[in-house]
Amino acid sequence: MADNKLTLLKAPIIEAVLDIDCDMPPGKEISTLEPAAHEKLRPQYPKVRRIFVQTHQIETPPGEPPKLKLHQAVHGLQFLAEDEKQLVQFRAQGFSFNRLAHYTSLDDYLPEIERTWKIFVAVAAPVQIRSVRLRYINRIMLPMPEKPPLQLEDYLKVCPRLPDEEKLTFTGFLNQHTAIENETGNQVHIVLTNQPQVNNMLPLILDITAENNALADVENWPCLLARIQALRDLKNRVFRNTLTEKCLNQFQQP
Amino acid sequence: MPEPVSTTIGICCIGYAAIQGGMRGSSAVSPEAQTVRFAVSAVVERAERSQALFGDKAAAISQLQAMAIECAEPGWDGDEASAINPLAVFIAENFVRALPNFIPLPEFAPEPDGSISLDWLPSRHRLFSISVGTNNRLAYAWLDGADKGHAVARFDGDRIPQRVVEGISAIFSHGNASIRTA
Amino acid sequence: MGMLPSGLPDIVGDDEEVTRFLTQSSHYNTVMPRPAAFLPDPKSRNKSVFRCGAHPERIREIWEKTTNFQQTLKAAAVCKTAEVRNAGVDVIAKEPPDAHANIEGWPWLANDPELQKAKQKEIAAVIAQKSALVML
Repeated sequence: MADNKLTLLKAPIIEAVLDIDCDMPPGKEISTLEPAAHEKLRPQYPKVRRIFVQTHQIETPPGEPPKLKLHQAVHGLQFLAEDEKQLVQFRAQGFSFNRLAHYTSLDDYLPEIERTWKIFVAVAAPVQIRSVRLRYINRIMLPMPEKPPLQLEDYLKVCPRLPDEEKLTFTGFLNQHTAIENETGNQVHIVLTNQPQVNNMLPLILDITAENNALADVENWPCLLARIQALRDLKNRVFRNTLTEKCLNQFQQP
Repeated sequence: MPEPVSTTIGICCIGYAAIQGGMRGSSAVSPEAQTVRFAVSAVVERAERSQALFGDKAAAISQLQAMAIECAEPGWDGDEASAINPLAVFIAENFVRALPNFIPLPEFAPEPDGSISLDWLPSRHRLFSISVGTNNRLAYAWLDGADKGHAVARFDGDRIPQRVVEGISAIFSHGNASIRTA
Repeated sequence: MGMLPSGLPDIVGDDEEVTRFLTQSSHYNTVMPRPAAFLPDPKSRNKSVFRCGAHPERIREIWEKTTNFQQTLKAAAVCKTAEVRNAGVDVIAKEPPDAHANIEGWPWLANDPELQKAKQKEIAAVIAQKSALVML
């Protein structure tokens, strides 16, 4: 199966995020972009939310009651579709496009990514692209066997192991790997963890981020598109090679 | 099946900055992204409780916070100085966490506009000083004997800009030995 | 050249020593004052100094005349006016209070505050490097 031909009838994707981090023009506050951005995005993204960075300072002077000070600054703007399944973010560090389930295919979303990215370039005037990240968060439901424990290696080619599998049983795990693709210099971060058991199913979170850190021109969409597609290929390869055929077959059943 | 690498230890000793990146500043909004963030936070928190893995940085961050409290009110200098901005403290803490282990930890000083100065002062003639304000652009200046300069670098919250690492390293180096040929 | 009410010349001479009062222990180390001690105030766009030289008693005398006693004087940074001017800024007498002057002429860039700060830091670093530290 070619890297860019991974099609699943029932993909376990919970969220797909494209981040394009940029050098932003000095002295420009992200909050000032809201009116111009929303005017252009409103038809498809009628809802707006501000992302704040908040710091809470609690002072406890001796002999006095504690004093709480709250400072906050706008760190980004979120423009959401009516059903909130798709959003565009104008961040202090760049642009993001998020698609939540139900997710079809990156090819279906690329035209909208291009359109909203160009709006970001027009409104925020970023100076250059610093990095491009494509992140896919998958939630894979593993059926608990009638006779526990669940054998993770039935579903995962790369799975966590315990030092004594006779006497120890997993109650939770977090694996993180970071790697570089030798030919392209693209990097990949893979996080595998579990959520608490639901009914008779163990939810696995497989979080894959493919990243490219080469500088690029904000106006060159074809170059950016090629980069996104290369990251998609890497992500798909990691996904396919992390899961066994038994696991992948789950996603081919309607 | 090959024995798996002990990934937890690998994370703490090598991938600490990568874990920090997974914990902070995520643009993902789903509950599952939150799951990942919490799981990674737990690892980071455990690592930061270790004196061996994080002791020096923990002490530096404590000094930073103490200084921020001392300068939390306007006029802390007896003049018109602005209070230290808590966002600057937050970014400065992240900067310290992201510093490679081979870079000495800085000293901290408050600036009159509410920013925080991170200073490396190995001698009177060599210094490197960074200002951390409320955004990701860091102003810095250096002196190295008769050489001096200034610039701005972008800190993404996870990785120290390479030219900043090089600048700090340069003022701690003993300079290049010249080889004279006959 | 005129005279000020304090008796000092209205033009600060190159060979005069100007003194920056240090009330923050984080503004100096064992060797020298730190650059942050000299950064200009963004509101007044200058940095306050006194023309009192390096003698500790004279420094304390001027401090006690001018302070509101909300700060504790911990040390002083003393620099030749010529060195301050070599760094790219100027020292301008400004009384009252007596013997007061400002370091002025800092770079200000409205469209790039970070580059502005970087330029100011370089100047402040040079002044700090050329300053003697007087512990009090």
